[in-house]
Amino acid sequence: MVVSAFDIILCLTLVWLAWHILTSPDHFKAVVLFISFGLLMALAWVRLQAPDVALAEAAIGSGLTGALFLSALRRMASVRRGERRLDRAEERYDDG
Amino acid sequence: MTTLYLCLAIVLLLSVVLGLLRIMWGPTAADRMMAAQLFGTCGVAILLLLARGLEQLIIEDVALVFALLSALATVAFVRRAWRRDDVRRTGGPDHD
Amino acid sequence: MTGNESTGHRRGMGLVPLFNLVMLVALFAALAWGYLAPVSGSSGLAHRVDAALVESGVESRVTAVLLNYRAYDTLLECFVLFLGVVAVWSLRPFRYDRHDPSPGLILSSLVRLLVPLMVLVGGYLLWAGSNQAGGAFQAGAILGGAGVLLLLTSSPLLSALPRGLLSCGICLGPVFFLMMGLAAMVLGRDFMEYRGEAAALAIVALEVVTALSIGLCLAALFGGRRPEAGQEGAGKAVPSQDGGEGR
Repeated sequence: MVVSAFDIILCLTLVWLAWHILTSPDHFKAVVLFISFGLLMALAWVRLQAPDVALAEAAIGSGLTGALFLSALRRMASVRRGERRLDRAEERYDDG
Repeated sequence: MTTLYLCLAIVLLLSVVLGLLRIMWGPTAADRMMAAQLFGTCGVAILLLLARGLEQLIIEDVALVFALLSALATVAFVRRAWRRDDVRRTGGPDHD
Repeated sequence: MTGNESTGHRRGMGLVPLFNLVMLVALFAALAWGYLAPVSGSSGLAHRVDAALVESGVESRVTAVLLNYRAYDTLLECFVLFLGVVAVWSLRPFRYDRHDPSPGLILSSLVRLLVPLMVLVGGYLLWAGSNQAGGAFQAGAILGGAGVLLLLTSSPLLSALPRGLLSCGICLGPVFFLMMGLAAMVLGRDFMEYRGEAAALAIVALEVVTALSIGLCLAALFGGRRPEAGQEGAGKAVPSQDGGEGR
């Protein structure tokens, strides 16, 4: 009874979270939500009697992927700035 | 006793859900990341309570992995994303 | 991702959320049906796995399936990781525009505390994998996590590792897997057929080597570019992994 309450809360939160990750316009927010999604997913795997998958999810899903996404975000920002500089240079070239 | 453990796990799960709201609303990137970090701690506690409550000691291993790797995302945040506070607000630093 | 950009973006693709919703409902319906529909007949392959467990060399079902019955899957996964690293290394190198400042006292102490613990837990999972949850991939992921931590703090340990060793370590997983499979053929069995006494030894060896290789691959994927000779902070691999694993 208590366990099923736990499961229901977990399921609803997971779906709600997944929805927000997919629809969030803010990439940083989506990444942080994804990290927390990893945690809840690991709990879900534990409840599904799959400790192996839970271990992998705990290690990959929230730790490694989170770090990877944050680095990618930084990299995207740098690349975008580079592109803007290029645009500006082109504009200047066109004007002149 | 096991029911008590499971009830506590539900309380912690609900606190994770409240933390998710902080990630949704959090005005700064650091707020969001700290909420995600709280999940690391909460997740370890939930897993340990589940391990006792469900009497599956293998879940303690998952908690161990979680405790080690939940710090990773925060370190990545501090090293890669935090100084770029504008990544969160505008998606691209353009203050040059 | 700018405010205007994203609203325009979202207005332009108003159908996408609707499509997502439809897909979500369909997925839920399928899952609910799968859960509620009566299961007919036997409970899958579990009894066959259990029956063959005696001669698989391990006590854990999952490990037996991953490294013995369906070793092909794991071999191909190793190759996927290996090819991923090759692809990443062949891309144009990227440099962050500002160099990371040196990590503070707190961060470097954390790394010094955490990395040995990660190596220890990785070893534990590897060892535990033969009779409970755990195994090569999980251990590899943790070792990869240790590598990522060292990379993030641009630890001096990284530049101490020779490039050749890193490349060897990354190749080692798939190559060793193939070699073990071929060794089984030389001994008169099928490719990757491990049985009986020798199976336990073969699987332990496979697990150790693949875990190290997976850890190196994951860290290298995070590193994002091939370390150049004599360049500080570009290295990826984790010398302490190899040292720690040997103990």
